[in-house]
Amino acid sequence: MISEHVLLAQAKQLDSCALSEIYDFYSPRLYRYAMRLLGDACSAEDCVAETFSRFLQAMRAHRGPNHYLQAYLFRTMHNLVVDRYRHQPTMETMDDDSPSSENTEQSTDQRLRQARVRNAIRQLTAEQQQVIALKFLEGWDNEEIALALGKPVGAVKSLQHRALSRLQKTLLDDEV
Amino acid sequence: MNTLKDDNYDPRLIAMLEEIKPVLPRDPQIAARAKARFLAEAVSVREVQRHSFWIFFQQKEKLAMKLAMYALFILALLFGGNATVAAAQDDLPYESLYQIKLLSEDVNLWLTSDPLAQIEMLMQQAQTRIEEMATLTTKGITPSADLAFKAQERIQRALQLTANLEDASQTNTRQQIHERLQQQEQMVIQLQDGTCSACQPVLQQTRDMLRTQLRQIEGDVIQPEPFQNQTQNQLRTTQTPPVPGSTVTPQRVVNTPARDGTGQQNGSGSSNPSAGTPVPQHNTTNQNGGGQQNGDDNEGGQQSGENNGGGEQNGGNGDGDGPMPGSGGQGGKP
Repeated sequence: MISEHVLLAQAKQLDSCALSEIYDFYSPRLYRYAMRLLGDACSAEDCVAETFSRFLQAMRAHRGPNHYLQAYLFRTMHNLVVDRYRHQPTMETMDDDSPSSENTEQSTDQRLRQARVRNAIRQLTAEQQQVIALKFLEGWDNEEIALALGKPVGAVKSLQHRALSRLQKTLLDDEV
Repeated sequence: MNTLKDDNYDPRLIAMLEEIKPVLPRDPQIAARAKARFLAEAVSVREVQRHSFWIFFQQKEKLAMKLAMYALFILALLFGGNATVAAAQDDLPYESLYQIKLLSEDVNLWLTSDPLAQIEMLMQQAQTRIEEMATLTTKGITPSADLAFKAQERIQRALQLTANLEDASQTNTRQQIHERLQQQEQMVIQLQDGTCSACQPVLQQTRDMLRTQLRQIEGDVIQPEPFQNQTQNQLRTTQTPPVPGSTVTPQRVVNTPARDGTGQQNGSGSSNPSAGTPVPQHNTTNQNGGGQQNGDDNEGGQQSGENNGGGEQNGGNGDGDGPMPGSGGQGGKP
């Protein structure tokens, strides 16, 4: 893959090759991110499509990212996920009707556990959710997360600490 | 890769978060369709952008053209303004530069601060309107009543300015305005020679207007004191153009002594329309020097005049609603 700067410059000209390359590289990662947080393939596909659509509109309006395409795309995706959180019921009720329930290989117990973790993440603030998802599910380092959030690294660490404490309280203390 | 283990968090929490990490592979067909949609949207956006760029370019072209036109107009005003205004001075109301002519008159008036010069300018402009009417009438074109109104408006403004002058200059100025108005009236009378029958109503209206102004000034010569008030009041109330065909009459009663030498003029009648004695309609132009005339001024504007040898003249009353107070008194002339 050519450098992100060149790719972005070409994408601003709405070059099909550059856009195709960006899509091929980022869409699987964005899909995975959405799937982990939403647990629903349809919603994840919708979020991916909307993320790239917004990216195009931003390119058209000359408001798109200049340097950090990855940070821009994941920030957009996370905003869409948070919107879904606000407008959709909790995972337990959604899972019954969702297309992901087609996957019969997963045991009901496992799906319930996943839903429980996702619901615990939903109870965090939007920024805490993003830190947890990017760091512990996507494997980003603090500097990359700081770029995505537009915050200093120290603030990211602080967010991470508070988010984990809350998750621990929600997931583990309830068990006790 | 960062994990929870680095921060010594509870391993059970790690395990729980690891639960949601595995994701089923994305459906390749759905992914391909999604990519195709994205690229199609990109093409659409590019077309829209190109189109909007073309519109913007066209708008820019229009804007540039407008700016060029404005620049040319300003240059024309700067360098050709005097020539244009000079050329407009001979224009008649139906001609293209007539509005510039009017505008230049207004500008000249606005730039003049001396009241005497303003009065002179206003009367000259009124004269110009009358001359325009004369030119149009000579050409067989019916002049617009608007010309008469404009002339009247100028005269009224001149009178208003005159009212604010000092007494010495006020008398002279009024005299000059009077002479001007007489000239203008003569001009209109000459135009009413019947050559342009369609022009007659407007000419008559203009003549009535001029006569009204003349009477006003003539009355003020005798009684200059109320002139200021009357002129200002009239300006406030009579800014509408006179109705074509209507007879414009003086709006103030001037008590003048009977001019027959023997008669008596009574200007102190009652406002009651029936107060005067109705007299059978005789010829009101009876030139009998000793005539008696009842010029009752009632609501219907009726006049009953009788001139006889007695020379007694009831010149109506000033409080009535009739428009011709004491007009029957003319019959008392020897």
